[in-house]
Amino acid sequence: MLELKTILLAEDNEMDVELTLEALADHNLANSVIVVSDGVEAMEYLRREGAYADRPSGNPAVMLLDIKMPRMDGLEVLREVRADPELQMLPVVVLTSSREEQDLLTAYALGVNAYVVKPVAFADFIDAVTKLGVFWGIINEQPPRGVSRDD
Amino acid sequence: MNGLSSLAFADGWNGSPGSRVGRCSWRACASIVALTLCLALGSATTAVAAPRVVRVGVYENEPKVFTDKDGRSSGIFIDLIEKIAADEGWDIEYVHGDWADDLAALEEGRIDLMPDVAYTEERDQLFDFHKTPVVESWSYVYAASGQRIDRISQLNGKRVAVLTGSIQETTFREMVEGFGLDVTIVGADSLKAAFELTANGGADAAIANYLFGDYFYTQYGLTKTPIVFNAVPLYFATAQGRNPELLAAIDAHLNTWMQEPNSVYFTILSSYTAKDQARIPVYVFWTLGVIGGLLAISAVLLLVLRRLVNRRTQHLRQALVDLQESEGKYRRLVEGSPDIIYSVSRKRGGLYHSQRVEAVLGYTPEYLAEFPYFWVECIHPDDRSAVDAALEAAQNGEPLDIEYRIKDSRGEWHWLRDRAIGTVSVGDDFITEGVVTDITARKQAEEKVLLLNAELEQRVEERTGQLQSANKELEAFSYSVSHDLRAPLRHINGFVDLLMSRSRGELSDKSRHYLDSIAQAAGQMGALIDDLLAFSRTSRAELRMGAVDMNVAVRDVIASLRDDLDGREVEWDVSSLPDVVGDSAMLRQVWGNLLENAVKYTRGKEPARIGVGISEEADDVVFFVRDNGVGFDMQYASKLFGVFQRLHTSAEFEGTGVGLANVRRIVDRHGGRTWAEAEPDRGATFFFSIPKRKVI
Repeated sequence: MLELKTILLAEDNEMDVELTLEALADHNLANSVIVVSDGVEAMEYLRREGAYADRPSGNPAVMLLDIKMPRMDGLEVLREVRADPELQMLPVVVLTSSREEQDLLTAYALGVNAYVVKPVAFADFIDAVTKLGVFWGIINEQPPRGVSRDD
Repeated sequence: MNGLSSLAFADGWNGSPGSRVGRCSWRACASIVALTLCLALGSATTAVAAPRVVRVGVYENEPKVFTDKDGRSSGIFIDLIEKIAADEGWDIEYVHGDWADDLAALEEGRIDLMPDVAYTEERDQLFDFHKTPVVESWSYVYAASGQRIDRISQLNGKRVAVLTGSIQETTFREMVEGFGLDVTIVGADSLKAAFELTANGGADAAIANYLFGDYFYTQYGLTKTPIVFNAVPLYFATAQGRNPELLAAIDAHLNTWMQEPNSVYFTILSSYTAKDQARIPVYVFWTLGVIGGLLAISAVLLLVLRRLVNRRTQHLRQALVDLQESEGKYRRLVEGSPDIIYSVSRKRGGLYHSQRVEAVLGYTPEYLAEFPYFWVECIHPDDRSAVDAALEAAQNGEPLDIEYRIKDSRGEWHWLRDRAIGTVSVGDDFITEGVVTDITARKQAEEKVLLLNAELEQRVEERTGQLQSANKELEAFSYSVSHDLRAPLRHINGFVDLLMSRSRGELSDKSRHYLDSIAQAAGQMGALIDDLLAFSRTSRAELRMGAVDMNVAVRDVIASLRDDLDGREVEWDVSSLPDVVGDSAMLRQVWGNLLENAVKYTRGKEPARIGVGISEEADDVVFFVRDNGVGFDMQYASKLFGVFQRLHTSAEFEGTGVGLANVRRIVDRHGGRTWAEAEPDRGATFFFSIPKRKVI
């Protein structure tokens, strides 16, 4: 069941990674976060290739995906995920630094499940993952009060 | 009757032409003696006081001697002797008888003077004659009506009536025999009988002395021929040696009278010859009457006709004046026209060109009339077939409106527009009339415009390319701002938050104040960046045009603003607003910015008054938002709508200075205008116009 709790965070900016992990840690979720720094690495993890060829099988409960990344950006990752029968059901939450219209429209067109404006505002994040129905899959403990009330 | 026959007898005594010459020489010798005697006797007669009685024989030989219908003695000889007697103081006593009786009486001295006696040598033995003949007699041939006799030869085979036993009978017979003609002589008892015989068809012609003949021939319906013969001088005669003074007096008077054309002699002579000339038949009077009547009718008709003609002339004259006026008017219109007016025949070429042609092409209308195909020859070779085709079509009833080039007298090309007014067929020919306008200037302008357009298009293309690339750069810049510029800010905020939440208790108050300041500055910067991105979005986002209910837009914006009022009292005065065509979301943003500003800048005014209204212009609807807030100085009005331009400090009124820039950008994109009027502390009014458009 460990795999179910895994969160894949694709983010190239170290400060954003740190702040995101801090935020997740505040909610005891940091232990189950796998961090990749670009799209290529994200796809290697998802397809158990390269450095992740030996990892145990199974998809993460949710992928937090930054759009602007070196080598392969978030939208390309999203496109590959949605085109891959093994991965197409993976819940994806896009991390955006703005409500830039074109990015959001493209992301929705590619089948993103939700988006969260960085730095991860936890209310937004919890709201998003709750709606995705993966919330209990990634949380071991009781949810924070504000969220449990909704559930 | 006796008289006439006696005359014939007396004439029968007449001598031959040869004896006549002899008498003439006799007359010449005697005239001197006679004149002397006459003068001597004239003085002698005046000396004698007692009147001399002169007995004159009278017999019937009209018109020379005769008794008129009143019984008075009359005739040429009688009238003459009476005139002479009056001058000489003689008393005339007439002795009536016939020719033979009177001649016998003369011989015996019972008569002093016998008139109308032809001189013969035989008579000269018995009588004395004076020298100057009273008249000379000759004979004419008078022809029956219908007989044409102009020459003696034409008498051949004719019957001619002649006084039996007369001297004319003898002479006439000798004359025709001399010519070898076959003429039947018909005897008549008198000259009248001879004329009657001829008139009744008993003879073809009659012979008579001219004195009788001319006097009577018209009465008998005869014609006078030019055949004349047998001239005889006639005298007064007296018994030999008895009355020489009478003869001298007669000669004296005759000689005197014959010198003067208007003398008594000629008056008497003409009175007996003019008589028959004056004889006018009744039918002449009838004819004259009819002619007179006809003339009278004609005169009346003439008057009527003249009136008709006058009236008609008047009409015609007026019509002519009207026609000239009309002609003049059309001529002025045609000749004064700035266009060339022409008529062209299919068969004969150009017939007419108005005066204007000379100014345009340099050829006179007369020149073009002389060379009817010259115009066509001047047309640009590339245009000629098109012109021919168009003219052909025009003559088949299609409208003609073509443009072509033509060379003028200086060799320069003109563009002409040629429009036909109409085509009429005349016999087997077609005449087209039309108007030609020189459109050279227009054509050149058009060419220039085309060139300019092409240039402009190219420039627009270039500029568009530049703008597109600029736009792309701007997009890239916005994108980079949104990602790269916001990221560090986000991190500042994130770590400040972490610091505050993790180490708040360990920090001094001052350190906490610093952290708050950092957070506030970062927040401010975030707001600026967000507004800037929003502004960039309004510039780039596609307009979604549709009908926008401005009333609803304003109502919604005001409703959303109520939360910001914090219990402030605002008096809203919103007029009814028309719908416009535009992007609903963007127009809401306009209203949001303007109304937000109004609320913001009326802070401190109690009560705040905010009005919303319109004023319609021809093509636009002008909306305005008016407040009684702090207003501004109009000298800064130009900065008002610029990005990040502020007329107040953030301490006075918060804001980023992007709101009005956004308003202007949105209104611009709708094709409208934005402006403002204000006075410091007296409020401000912001206007924006939206073009009136139909909903698509």
